[in-house]
Amino acid sequence: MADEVILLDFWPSMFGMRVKIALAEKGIEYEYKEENLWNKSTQLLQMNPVHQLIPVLIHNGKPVCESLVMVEYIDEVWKDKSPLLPTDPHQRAHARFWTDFVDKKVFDVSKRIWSTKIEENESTKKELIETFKILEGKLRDKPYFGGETFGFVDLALITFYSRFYSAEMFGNFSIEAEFPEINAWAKRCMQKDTVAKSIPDQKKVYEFLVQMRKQLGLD
Amino acid sequence: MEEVKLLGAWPSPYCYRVIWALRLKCVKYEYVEEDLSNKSDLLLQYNPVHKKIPVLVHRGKPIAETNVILEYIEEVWPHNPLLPDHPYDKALARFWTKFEEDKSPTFFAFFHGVGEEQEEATKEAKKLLKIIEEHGLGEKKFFGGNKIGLTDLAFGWLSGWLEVMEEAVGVKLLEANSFPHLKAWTKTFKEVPVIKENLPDPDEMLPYFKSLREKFIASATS
Repeated sequence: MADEVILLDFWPSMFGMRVKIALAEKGIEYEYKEENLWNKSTQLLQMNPVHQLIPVLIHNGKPVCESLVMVEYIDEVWKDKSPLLPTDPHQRAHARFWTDFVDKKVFDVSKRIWSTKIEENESTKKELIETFKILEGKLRDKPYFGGETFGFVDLALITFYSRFYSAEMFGNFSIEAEFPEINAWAKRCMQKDTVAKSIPDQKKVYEFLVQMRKQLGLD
Repeated sequence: MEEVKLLGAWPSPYCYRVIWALRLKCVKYEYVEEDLSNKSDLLLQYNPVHKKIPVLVHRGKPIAETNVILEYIEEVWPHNPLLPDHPYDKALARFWTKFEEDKSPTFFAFFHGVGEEQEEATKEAKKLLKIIEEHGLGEKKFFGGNKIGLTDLAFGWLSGWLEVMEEAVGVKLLEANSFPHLKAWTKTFKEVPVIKENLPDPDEMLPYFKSLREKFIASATS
């Protein structure tokens, strides 16, 4: 019996993009369903009753939630192609530590930049800059965070590329100027077809966030 | 020879999770108590990014972040498994350990907050307990089913720490009437021999938590 794979997502979600990349890396065919977060489908509410959030992966009718849990699930189920995590337990721990770091220090922090008033951004911006300094140090002379090949940490972080332009506009700093290695790494990842087709245009994401900020009365 | 060291600090529930996992797998380790007000060079060297405990050191290599440590322990010592075999069940277990981690600030706010902030945190915490009871545990004996697993360890603090926090704050969260399954689970969890033998002494914890609570109140009202 063929696998039925459905992804419930919302196009600007960096979390959804992670899952799209994972599915593309494994060559999995799936049905993509765009959710309207202001009018959530019954399917979403049933499949993720705890958080009622996207993304949700539905595999043969059973839902998996939380983007990194979903990526690990995809890696374990479709284990014969394009491994996303290393096999060695210590390297796996290393990868999980840094994806956890990305979640806490990049994604959580950056959310504050577009969801608060510009005047309150300075301390958030400082935090983000400190974080990127640590990540650049981690990258050093390697092409990817995983080493010679694109891996779990690269997948977890690269979706933030969709927000580079927004972070620069709202935070008033240049990622290219301040973090040339991160910038080069991002461009390297974007050369992969699986990544490029999973990440929307930065300016389109910026316009979307500008609209969101207007609706929230932030600008 | 396997060399396993655990840097921890009493009575951190995060440390206890690692202790429980190691003991459930009969892994011998050396425990090093850290003074968090005066962190050792070893801790700063082993966890330069977060500078926190617990840190597991195995064959000289450090691993930090509790959930990362637990997954590592599960992979290196796969006997007495704490995660299910099937990828879907594993994903469910990981979903709930992430839920616990993401929602812990609410419980911290319950313990730390004063006045209106405390009341709001209490309301939120009860909503979370309801979700955990209905969607996480259901009518199972353990979160993982018939035997203890990583998700049970993640929620282990509900079993040994919450009562002390409730007493220090003077507010009850986990009442048997409202959360019968979760309340029953706290008893079942504590009866697992490894857990029973490795819980901080509530008589020592209470004055510790009461003094923390007094500090929080003092700083909120000064």
